Amino acid sequence: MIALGLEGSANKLGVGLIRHDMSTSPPTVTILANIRHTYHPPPGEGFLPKDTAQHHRSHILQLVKEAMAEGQITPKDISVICFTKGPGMGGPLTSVATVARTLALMWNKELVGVNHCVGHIEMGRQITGAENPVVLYVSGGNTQVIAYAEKRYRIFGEALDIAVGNCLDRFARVLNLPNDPAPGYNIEQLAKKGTKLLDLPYTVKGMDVSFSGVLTYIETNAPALLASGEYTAADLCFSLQETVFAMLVETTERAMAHIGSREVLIVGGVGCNKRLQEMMDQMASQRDGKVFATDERFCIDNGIMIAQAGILAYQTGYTTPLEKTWCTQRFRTDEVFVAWRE
Amino acid sequence: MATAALHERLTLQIPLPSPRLAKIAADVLDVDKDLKPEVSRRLISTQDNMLILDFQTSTLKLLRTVVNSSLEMVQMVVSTMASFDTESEEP
Repeated sequence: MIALGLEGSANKLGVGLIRHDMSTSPPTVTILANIRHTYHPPPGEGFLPKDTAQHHRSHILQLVKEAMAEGQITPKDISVICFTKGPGMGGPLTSVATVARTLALMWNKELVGVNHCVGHIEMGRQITGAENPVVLYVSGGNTQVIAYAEKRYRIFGEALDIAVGNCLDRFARVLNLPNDPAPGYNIEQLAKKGTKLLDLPYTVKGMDVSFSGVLTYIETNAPALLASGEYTAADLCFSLQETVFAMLVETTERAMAHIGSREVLIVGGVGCNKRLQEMMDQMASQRDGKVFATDERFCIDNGIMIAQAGILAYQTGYTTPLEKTWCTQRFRTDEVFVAWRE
Repeated sequence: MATAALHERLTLQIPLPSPRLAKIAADVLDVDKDLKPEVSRRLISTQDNMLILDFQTSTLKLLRTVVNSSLEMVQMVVSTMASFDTESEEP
């Protein structure tokens, strides 16, 4: 069984092809292709919906062609077409869904609309083999602490205002860091050279976290701090990372304690960050636990995770009828009925 | 609440290579419903190989917006068909 996965909820456009060989138990999973093209706005700017949608429309057909060539797949080989239904940015999501629908109708294939967050979780599980971890899903658009219970990915805690990646990305604009390959990556590299820790607002509310306060504080004070020579840009990046990551480690630990789990799976673009992985590892080791993370092929938004989550649903008999293949900016992780797990 | 009269109108007739492709285009586009039907409506239909988009809005600005975004999606559908239609390849 082969699934085509199309992802475009933010500035990353991803196309993936995955094969599930159903002759073994469990099925043998092979990644046939996983390619991505990212829209990078100029330094100091963020990506806007209209430009992002236009980027996706300009590149998606080429990406689909390349993926099929790399996987040596023709339309008749494809069992199902999966696409991101949400959450994310409206225009970009719809541009990608439009292609999915067109291909499905031309090739006479079923469609599966996938929840972006569930895509990250399922790819993380597949790649790392983590059995029943607490999942920390952290990206530019989402920050959630998730645990699986009775057919749903339950949100134990989340960011109340902006995602941790959004906080980092917007601070990168203040420093005029390049957006290529990603603002968060450039903050991570610069932070490695930081030595001085600035005391920043730390906001954890029970199981939830809040980043708008620390962002406002550092945005407001950075120019004066840098001008005074007291702190370098590297020190500020270092301080911001230490603070926001500590908040994430605290709430993840709280979830682990609550459900008695000794595994943490970190997914989402911010999950690529080595410092976050290191801090999480220190906490998990203290609890006799283990951290699972993937590399940038799977952490950062991609098409293969959509194909994976989609094919798992498809195998339970789930499809999305054409009239329901609209996209939505808000799509809670726990709205999905996880039929494919016990 | 008083409903605005949808004075501004525009009809686009877009020829596709075949009635089959016109029907596919119509079905794909019609999934996305009007965001604010009280001020902007789009009716999609086909006639043989013609894709017909009927726009009715309360203001010219809304008309420009909905026509522009619709054409962007039509362009996406048409390019996808041009690149990937398999039926035309069958002998």
